[in-house]
Amino acid sequence: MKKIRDIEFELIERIKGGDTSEFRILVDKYKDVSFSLACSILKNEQDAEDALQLSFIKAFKGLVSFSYKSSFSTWLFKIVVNTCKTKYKNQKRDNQLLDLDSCSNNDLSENITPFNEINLRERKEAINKVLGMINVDESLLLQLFYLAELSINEIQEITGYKDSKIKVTLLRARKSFRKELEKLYGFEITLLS
Amino acid sequence: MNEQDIRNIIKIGIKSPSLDFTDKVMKEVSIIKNEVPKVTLWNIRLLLSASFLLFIISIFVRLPAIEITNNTIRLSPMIMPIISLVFIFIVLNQLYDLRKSILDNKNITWHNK
Repeated sequence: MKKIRDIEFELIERIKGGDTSEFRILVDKYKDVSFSLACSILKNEQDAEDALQLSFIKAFKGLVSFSYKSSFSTWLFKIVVNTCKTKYKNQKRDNQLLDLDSCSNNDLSENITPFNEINLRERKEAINKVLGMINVDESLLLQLFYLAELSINEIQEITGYKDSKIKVTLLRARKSFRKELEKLYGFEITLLS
Repeated sequence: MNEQDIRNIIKIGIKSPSLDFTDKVMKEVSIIKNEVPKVTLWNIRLLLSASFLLFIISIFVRLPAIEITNNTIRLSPMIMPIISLVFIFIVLNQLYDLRKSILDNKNITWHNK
């Protein structure tokens, strides 16, 4: 059975060969994880979507130089992270970075219903609110490690951080995430579904 | 809350962009694919200018007589304009191929839609 990596490489070869409609498969596959990563950096859905669109265009243009040394996902996430960080810096420079938190729902701060008793949609909002509350780096590393399921080496390739920094930040991120979630929704958080 | 719980919780929080996101990206991709690269456009302009300049110069410039042993060969004044016309023909032929390949790419994109 072919590995996902090999299937993607064949797909990339077809795209390079002129069948650009195949790029849709890659966009559909990675848009959600990439969007979550973009949101964790920019903290605003509209900005995240704009940055993500730009990232996919950059990826399409850069496919010609894709060297198959890493997986497509690692390569794409690196583009997404770099694009979002540049946009974040520009916004900061232009003093446009208001305390926007549209990636999460502000009303949830009033929510004291235990985590296990809220529905899936509300859980989703709660999780994103907590991810929005913690430090950008911590949130990004949590998503790269747990959501994108990347290894420390791959995260290192994407962020450029040393592996010791990644491990320490991840440890801190887990603590912050747990602390914020438990502060909002009580101590005994287990997953029912 | 253990490691696996955190993994599961974060996976629940996965977010999605707008429903037409993929279509928007593919529309941009289609535009990029069909646009003629700027370098190609400048090359075309440069080649056309050079060939017409060559044609104009060739009208006024005559090739000198060539002496081989005791014979002198004088070329007709029409030779240079003819050579430059051949050059222009080659350039135009290349342009026609380029135009054809661009149109073919557009057809592929429309067909795939």
